[in-house]
Amino acid sequence: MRNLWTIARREIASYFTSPVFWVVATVFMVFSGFLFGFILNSPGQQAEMTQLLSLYSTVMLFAAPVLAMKLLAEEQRTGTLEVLMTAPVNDWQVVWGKWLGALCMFVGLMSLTLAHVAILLRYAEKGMDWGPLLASYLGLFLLGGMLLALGVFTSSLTQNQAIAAFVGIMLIMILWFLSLVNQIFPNGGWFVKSIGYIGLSDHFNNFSQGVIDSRDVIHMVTFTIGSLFLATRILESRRWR
Amino acid sequence: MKSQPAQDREVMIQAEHLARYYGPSPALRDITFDAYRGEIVGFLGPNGAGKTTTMRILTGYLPPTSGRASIAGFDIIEQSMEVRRHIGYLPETTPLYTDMTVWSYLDFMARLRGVANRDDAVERAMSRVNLDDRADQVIGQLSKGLRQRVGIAQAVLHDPPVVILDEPTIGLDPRQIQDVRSLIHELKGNHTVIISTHILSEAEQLCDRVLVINRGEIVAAASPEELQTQLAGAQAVRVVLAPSVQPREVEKAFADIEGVAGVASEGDGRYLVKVTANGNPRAAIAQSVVGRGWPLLEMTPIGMSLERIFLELTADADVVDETEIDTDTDAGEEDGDA
Repeated sequence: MRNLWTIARREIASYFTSPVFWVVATVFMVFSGFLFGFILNSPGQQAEMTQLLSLYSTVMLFAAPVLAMKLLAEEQRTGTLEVLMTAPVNDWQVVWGKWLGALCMFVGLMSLTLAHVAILLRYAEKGMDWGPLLASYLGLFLLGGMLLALGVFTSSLTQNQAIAAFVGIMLIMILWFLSLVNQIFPNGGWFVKSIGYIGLSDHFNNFSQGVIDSRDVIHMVTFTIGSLFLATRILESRRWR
Repeated sequence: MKSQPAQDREVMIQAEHLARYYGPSPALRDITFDAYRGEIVGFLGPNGAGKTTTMRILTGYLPPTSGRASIAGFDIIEQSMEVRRHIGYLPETTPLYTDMTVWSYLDFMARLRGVANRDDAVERAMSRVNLDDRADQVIGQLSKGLRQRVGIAQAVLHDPPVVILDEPTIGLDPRQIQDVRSLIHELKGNHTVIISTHILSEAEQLCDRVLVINRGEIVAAASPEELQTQLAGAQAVRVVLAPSVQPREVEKAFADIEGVAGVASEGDGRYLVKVTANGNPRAAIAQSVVGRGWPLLEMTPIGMSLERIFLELTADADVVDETEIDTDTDAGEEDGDA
């Protein structure tokens, strides 16, 4: 546990000196701020934070692989991985520690949207519907964890950050749109249903409607653990090649 | 300065028949050696001989295909975590996190290694490598020589009994090379140090023992002095006579002279006379030649330097040709003024 946090701390510190992080943070803030203002100002629109959050999350589909791309690729390129892997640390601790560091940054970015919640709270006449909002944030958190884990996985495959990010975004796009098979084949059998289950967007949409379904939680947690497990195995396989 | 007899000292590294294949091609065929407490052992060999692979196996980065090794009594496979606690390792490329300051990097490594008194350990490591005033500098802005020192500080941070440095002076300027060498020399005694190098004068200067590695095998293991005297004979004399003289007669005549270890005819009246250790048969050779009335055209003593021995030991023509064997003459000169 201590090793995990040591590695996560280093990643967090290194994000703050990395221009990539500031670019991602700026893009996210500008995008979310603009959407927030736009929706608040459109007459007749209901100001729903949950809707906003699900819109914000679309940035994350691109931002998460970019945040995660350096985690293992850069270590492999510069050779620092060799020092890490000969220090008294397990391979899985390296992988999970890096993921944890990225997740902390993600949570930090997301917590900026609490400002939007505060503004709504100030002007809300009937108060806030807290249940769906919390469910939304939980969904966003799980989604972030999963997307970053996928990013860690693609980052373990290559020494090239750009390739890691690109493959990550492709993978996430495929997963996201896999849910559509349910709409294309509404009467599909078990095969279509299972493909649809793998798809990402339906699961996330449930959260943003305030529904916490164990199927959605299991889906995202499974993907998170699975990706990090694969990344660990790929790291280990470097020793045997 | 020389080490005591090896037998009564603690074995820190034990490697038995290490072999490593990358696919079907062997990087390491058979490496067996011991290293003792407080000793500096040099891996000497051309590039691609297997020095780095051996180090990676010892540090637990790569598993051997066969064979076994232990560090401070811990098996490198079964007790990898213990092994890692007992070594400090600096890979050849000096990989560091360039976005961190010297202090935060060393602090990070100390945390990873579970060093108890972190601040003290980091401070001590920094003063050992003379980096005291660089604590807050970003590693990316340091010169190659200073980075190398950070890398060495990282390797000795936790006061490990075994320190492994892969080509610690590669890519440095002569002054920095000298700095790093004296640093390594200071490590001696407290730590068992393994360095790899393809620079002969470096092995000669730093190491108590040299393992000459070629094509994944140890082809010689001795102190630099022993290598020089025992393995190849101290000296040789080149004698050139008129080609009309019968080689067989020359060989017979020279073989009887005291101090001659062997005679080889090189054709055209040229002979290479190998000399036994401490022997000096030059006068006798000259007398014998003149006594027989042979026309003596030339007689030159040839020193067998470590570099000649090295070339001879690793004398597969293709290896010698393809790899740069750095005989390091400039660094040698530089040693003089330092």
